[in-house]
Amino acid sequence: MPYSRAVVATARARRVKIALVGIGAAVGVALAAAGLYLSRATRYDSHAYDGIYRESADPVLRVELIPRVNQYINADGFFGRDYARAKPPDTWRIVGVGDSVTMYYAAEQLGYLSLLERSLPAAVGRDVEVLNLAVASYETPQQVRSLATRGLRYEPDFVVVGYCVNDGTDFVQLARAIGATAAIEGRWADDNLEVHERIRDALIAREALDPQRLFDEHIRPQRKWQESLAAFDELQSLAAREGFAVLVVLFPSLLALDDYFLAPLHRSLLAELDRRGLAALDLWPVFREAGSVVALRTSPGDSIHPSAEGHRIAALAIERWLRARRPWKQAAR
Amino acid sequence: MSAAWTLLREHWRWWLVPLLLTLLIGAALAALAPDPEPTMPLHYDLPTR
Repeated sequence: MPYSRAVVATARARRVKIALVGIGAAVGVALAAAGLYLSRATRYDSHAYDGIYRESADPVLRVELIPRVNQYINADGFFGRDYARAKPPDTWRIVGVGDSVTMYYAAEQLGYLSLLERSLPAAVGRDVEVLNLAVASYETPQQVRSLATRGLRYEPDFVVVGYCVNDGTDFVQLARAIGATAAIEGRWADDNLEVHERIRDALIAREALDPQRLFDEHIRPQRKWQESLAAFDELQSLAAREGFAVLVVLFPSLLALDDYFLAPLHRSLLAELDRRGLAALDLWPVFREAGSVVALRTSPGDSIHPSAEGHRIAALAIERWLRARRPWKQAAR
Repeated sequence: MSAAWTLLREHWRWWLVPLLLTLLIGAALAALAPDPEPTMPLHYDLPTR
């Protein structure tokens, strides 16, 4: 082969080899990406909470979940497997009620009630069932109503109420009342981080950051607050009549928890629950100790819904509370 | 087609090694990365009256 042709052939062979390396790397990247996508896409169902609601015939409830609308909602219209109405022998049964805070992560079985169902048997020493009757948008009156009309059929020994700060407070009304209307323009709901942050910022700007006054003047008089307390009255009489114990778990707004503008709301609610003989667990100090509040949010702009990590911390705190008091030792119903 | 196949067979090291290397790097990165967490929806699609 003449020299010049040999040079051309070598150059061509080099180009072919470079192309082969490129093809190999590209196929490798594509395979790795596809593998990653498939392994993660199958882990969680992003549509678990889509199209699950219908109007309820019950005027208090207004909405309810559609039974068996997807694989996560049972025949009785709540997240989880089907449970026998009659409590199985040698079983300690918890019924949980709440709003979206308690309902979310139920499909993934990463919510605090799911975690308790898995962890509690070791402490209780017998079977434990934890039913999650929570429905997004339910406030305290709806939660107590769903307990009365559905939850009690399951003969609970113990009832957990997942209380979220917006269950007894209308944050849109609050923002309007203090003139922080910019906080709510075009906002989708009251549990938006910006709404909470701007209410706080409006107070700071006016050098009137007095959370106690904010609570006394603008939250306590709200109809929603009063309705929430009336529902707790009802819960108290239900518990006395039916013989179950109650724990109200208070989830804080996931703002800067060291300088927390809803502290008086927590204090007041705890006092109101205590007055009614209803036990309470405030997660504010628990979440505050957990470090980064941002890591406890399910998404950066959401001050209400805890992340899976937040649920894990909540479940641990509730388990600790239960282990210290051992309510399962009380006479079985 | 057969020319390409012959080329791939003859020079298999030149494409198989980078392919396996990228897969290996991808697997290592996936193992090191934190578990993805489901993110809950911001809107409820509640029925309206």
